[in-house]
Amino acid sequence: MLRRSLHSSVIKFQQNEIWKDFTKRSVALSLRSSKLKQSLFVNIEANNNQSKKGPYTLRRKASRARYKSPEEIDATFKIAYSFLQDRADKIYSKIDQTNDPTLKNKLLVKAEINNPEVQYNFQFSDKIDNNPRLIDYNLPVYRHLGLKHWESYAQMLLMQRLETLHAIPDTLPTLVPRANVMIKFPYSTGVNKWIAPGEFLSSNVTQFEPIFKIQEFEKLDLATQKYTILIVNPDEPDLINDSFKTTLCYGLQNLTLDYNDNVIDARKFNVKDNVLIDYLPPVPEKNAGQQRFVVWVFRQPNPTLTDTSVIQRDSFNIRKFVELNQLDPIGSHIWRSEWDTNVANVRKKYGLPKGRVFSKVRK
Amino acid sequence: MLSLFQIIKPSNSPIYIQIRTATKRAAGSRTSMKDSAGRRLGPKKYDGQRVKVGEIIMRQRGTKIYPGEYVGIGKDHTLFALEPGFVRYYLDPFHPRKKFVGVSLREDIKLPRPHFDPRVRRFGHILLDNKKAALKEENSLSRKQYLVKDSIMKKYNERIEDRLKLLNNFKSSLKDIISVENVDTNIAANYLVRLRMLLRNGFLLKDAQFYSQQYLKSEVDLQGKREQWSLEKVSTYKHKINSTCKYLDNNVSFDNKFKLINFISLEEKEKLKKELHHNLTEEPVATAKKIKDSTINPSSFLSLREENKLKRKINSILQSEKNAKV
Repeated sequence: MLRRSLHSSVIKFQQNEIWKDFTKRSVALSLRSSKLKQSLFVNIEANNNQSKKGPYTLRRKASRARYKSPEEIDATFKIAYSFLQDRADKIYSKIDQTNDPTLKNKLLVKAEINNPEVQYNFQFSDKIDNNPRLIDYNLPVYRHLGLKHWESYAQMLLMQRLETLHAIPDTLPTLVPRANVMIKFPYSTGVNKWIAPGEFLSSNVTQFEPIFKIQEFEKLDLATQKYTILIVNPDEPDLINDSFKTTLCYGLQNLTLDYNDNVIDARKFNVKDNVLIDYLPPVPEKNAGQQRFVVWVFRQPNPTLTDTSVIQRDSFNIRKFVELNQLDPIGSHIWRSEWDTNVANVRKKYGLPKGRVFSKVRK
Repeated sequence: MLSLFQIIKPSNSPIYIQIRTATKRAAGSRTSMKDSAGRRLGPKKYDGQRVKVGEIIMRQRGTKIYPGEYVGIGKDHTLFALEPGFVRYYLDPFHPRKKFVGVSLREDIKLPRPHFDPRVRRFGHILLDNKKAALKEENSLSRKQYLVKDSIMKKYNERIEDRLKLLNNFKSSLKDIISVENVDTNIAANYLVRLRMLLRNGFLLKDAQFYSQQYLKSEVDLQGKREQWSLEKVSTYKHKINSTCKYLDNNVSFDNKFKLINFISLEEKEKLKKELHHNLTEEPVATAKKIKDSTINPSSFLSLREENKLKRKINSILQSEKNAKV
């Protein structure tokens, strides 16, 4: 009878432990806990304390007692690890020889993507409010993982909401999403929550401006790259034409970002240089229907905007503004507002005139 | 049986002769009897014709023609107008095998419109000029909203009351912690209420401090705009907020149950934590008793989770001590 057997010759790996060497590589590529490291690399059940015998990641005593490790798990892991590490070492030597930045970026991802420490750090820590010790988006591999994670859900959700709510093409023709844009309203109600695209928000929540988080995944020179943010409302009633017009609610320009430190609040800009137009909160009128507030994030081709002449609150033409300044839309977000009993208070607070009232039924 | 097969019995003959009579109906054409009247199908409105909302454009069996822009479809595939305008029969390059009928809002608009252009929309609601009618409409609520309004307002008022209580509490308790001459008590109390809320909602300390300060400042900005303050007045007020917040950030802290306490820095917290850990390993019983008597208060430098863990540890230490004595 024929049997499959393992190759008898011994596989020899180079003794270059590239994944353990942090002289050239970032510390974010390593696990933080020394105990976890020990249980991963030495012995899965390694523990000096006999009562805490069992894998480190199992917190409950009962779970640890019940745990039975597969046969030869440590030995198998070691072989697989040194095989992958050997490959990564070869890729790193290739990186040293290349000068092409895109290829270099690709290879840097390839060299670390199978590193168990990197995978653990990414899968078991917060990807949005990330700790740069664990997920450092300056590193190509974490940017790659972040991009894949975003594409697996949040990006699709955003595009679905933009399309079904007709934010595209009512504001801009379309969007090729490249950066993850998130918003939060910490000043008004103080609720600590990233808003999901398309959510209905009350006028109380939106009475002060949102903060933005823009996560870039592409390799860019972020020291020089500037950003513009606009919030537009394409649903302001236009009674003369019996139609709708676009209102510009908020505009920021010449913003800078970082891969990790990318929450844009009032600490990141000043009124004089960066604010294109002040924040006007959503104050929908009674029976005017739901209003969409679309956040657009652009990369600027120049350090400053070239033409801000079309900036106006009423009847704002966003397409013209984008064309004039050659802005590159990279991300978007949307929320919806409707008339509620608090709108009158917000109007009073901002010194706005009383809201109009429309007939309930369309004629 | 008799009706089908009559048995003829001649008077003299012993033989029976069987015959069949004509009982079967005369055969006719199979379907000619079932024909119904015509259903009057087909287009009711032609290309370019003006329609009002709800007017039928096409009656059909199945979807010979599909509903396009501003056209609805009924349960028997009847196509009708959703907006007033002009009927357009058209082909859409995105659906090459289908025919569409749409309604364009203006006579000059051809369908299909360019794919990436903004939609042409009609607002349709009428402005209520009559003040009385407008007020009535503004105050009207849907049944659902009307039913929940009271309970929501009750909860809202309770929240406001709680916040006021907290505000007054902070105003009075600030005197015990800091020298009040350095700060505006009103601003300070408002700031601390806000800060406490943000911390409870899980914001980091630095962010929470900034966001609460910013909140106070934007409130001042708006008040200044409303009451037409001079720029100087606004800036002095803002300066006051700045100095008060800065003073509070360096002189007051919240413990893990969000009570106001004397200031404690992060380094100090770490130091105290280490000290406690050291004491617990060196002389566990004495330290445990001290914590139990609350001579040491760990809630100022431990998180709630750490404190609960510590409590469990202390209980087990004291229990084992008791058992050893017995």
